[in-house]
Amino acid sequence: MKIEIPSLARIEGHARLVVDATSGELKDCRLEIFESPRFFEALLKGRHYRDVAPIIARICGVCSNSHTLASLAATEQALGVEVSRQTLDLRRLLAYGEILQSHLLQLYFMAVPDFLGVGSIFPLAKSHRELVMRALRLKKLANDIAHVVGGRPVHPVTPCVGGFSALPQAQDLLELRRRLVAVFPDLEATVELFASFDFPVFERQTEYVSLADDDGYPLLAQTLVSSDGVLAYVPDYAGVIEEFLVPHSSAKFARMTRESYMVGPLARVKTGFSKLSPMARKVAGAVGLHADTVNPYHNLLARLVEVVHCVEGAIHRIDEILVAGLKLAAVVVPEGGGSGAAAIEAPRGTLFHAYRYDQNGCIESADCVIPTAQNLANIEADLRALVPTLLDLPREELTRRLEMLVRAYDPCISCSTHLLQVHFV
Amino acid sequence: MSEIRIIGIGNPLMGDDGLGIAIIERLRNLELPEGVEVIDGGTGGMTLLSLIEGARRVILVDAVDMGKAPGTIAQFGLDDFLFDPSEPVLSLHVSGVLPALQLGQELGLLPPLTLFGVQPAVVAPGPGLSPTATSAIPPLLDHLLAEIHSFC
Repeated sequence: MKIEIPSLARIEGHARLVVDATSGELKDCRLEIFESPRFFEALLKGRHYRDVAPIIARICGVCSNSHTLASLAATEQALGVEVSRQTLDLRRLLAYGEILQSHLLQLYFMAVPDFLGVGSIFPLAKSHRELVMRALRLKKLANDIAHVVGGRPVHPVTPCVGGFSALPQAQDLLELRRRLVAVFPDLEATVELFASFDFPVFERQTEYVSLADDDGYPLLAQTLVSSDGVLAYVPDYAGVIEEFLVPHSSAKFARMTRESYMVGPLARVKTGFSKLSPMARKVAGAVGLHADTVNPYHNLLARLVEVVHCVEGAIHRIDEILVAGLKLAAVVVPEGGGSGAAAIEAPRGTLFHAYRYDQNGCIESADCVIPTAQNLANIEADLRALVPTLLDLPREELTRRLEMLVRAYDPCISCSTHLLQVHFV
Repeated sequence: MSEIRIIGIGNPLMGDDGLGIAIIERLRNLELPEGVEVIDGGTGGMTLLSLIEGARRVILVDAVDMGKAPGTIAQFGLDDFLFDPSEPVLSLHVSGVLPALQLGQELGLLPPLTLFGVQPAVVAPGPGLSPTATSAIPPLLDHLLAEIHSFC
């Protein structure tokens, strides 16, 4: 008997799983991701450094700020540009806004329907209106952080090589701060909601990879660490991450020390548990998230804890920026070319950009490794281990568990594309 | 708070999918009546609801596969969309316009809304519009300006 899940709902893009339910073997597992690296280099070749980040911002509609920030840092590394403390603080704030947007969307719109036993968020608009309105309020605040710091509601325009072309107004930052404080009741309700859910029990140890926590909870550090003891300088990422092809998938898989590794919220919590904000640590305790968990479904709890961490972190960043006083500094970019690489903890995990510039400051070669591509081998390894334990379940429940597992990673497998279709009747 | 918002949707790295954004860039260079705000909405998604919130009226511009000749311009009202949650086209992918509009409709959050759609010729990885899509820009701008002025 074969169980085929031709397309998984509520993940971004298309995925297909085929399970042999007699032997418990996973026959086919296709998570089609957009092959960005080739496209990426073709897009950037010959471009001047000033134009690189604005192009990159369009690569992904969900993570455009993370791509922008990784891109700017890689260019700065390549060209030898120093950035100020204020720039780093504003970039962190922007990154928090994006992590919040992405995590809130995944938690409320993708995960909550699983736990409330409905097929999507739509039925909840009627049955749980307040829950949906709360989700939208939280998401709006996250969007507004990105808007105030990045200058535009969707794709940022103010971050540039060396800093910012325009700074947010102090009064807009104060207003954001006021709203971040006012959102605590919504956060509490969110924590209560997730604390009331039963998470499937499934344990599989893997290698957990994230940026280091030397400058706080993993976000922008220049070292990469793994639970198996890898410690690497980010520009050397290609030496520790092995990308490989498998016959059943068109996407490249990635491994480090063992057959697969995990990036994303759970990996970050493991690296940086002690650096979480005080409230985030309390929430972790309340929902039973520990740094030693090996249950991939706990990615959801890690996401929830990071939401609290980012709200608290955003308030502190705003305070630091305002106390220091906003100063628009001239950006100095040395003449000439060079090579550089940088990484950021994007909502879904570590995102790498690497560029080589010629003497005129134009791209000679470019590379990008996205979080979902790094997680693919691990998702598949999880599924292979999980399927045999679920064979006694009714087919519908088995399907739901597998879908929930894939969704726990929040895979983003349709970077760049959307097309509205209207059927005339 | 702006009264009328024109929101372009699309991805300029995907050929004619970038039409909605190209239009927004053009509109930014024009003098528009007071209270009209022009917004680059990226590839849409649930963020669209935040962009729409508080507006008196919204005009969306997007590349739409209508099965018509490339470059064809069509105007839709909310009622023209298929608001049937069981339709697979409305399954919740984060990108795109319909899921967000449908949820906004369910919650009663949507102001009066018009969508201008253009049938794309080429939607494939790569920047830049096709000649057909480019030639649809001037008539589309005329339609949009007429629509804007009818409210102001």
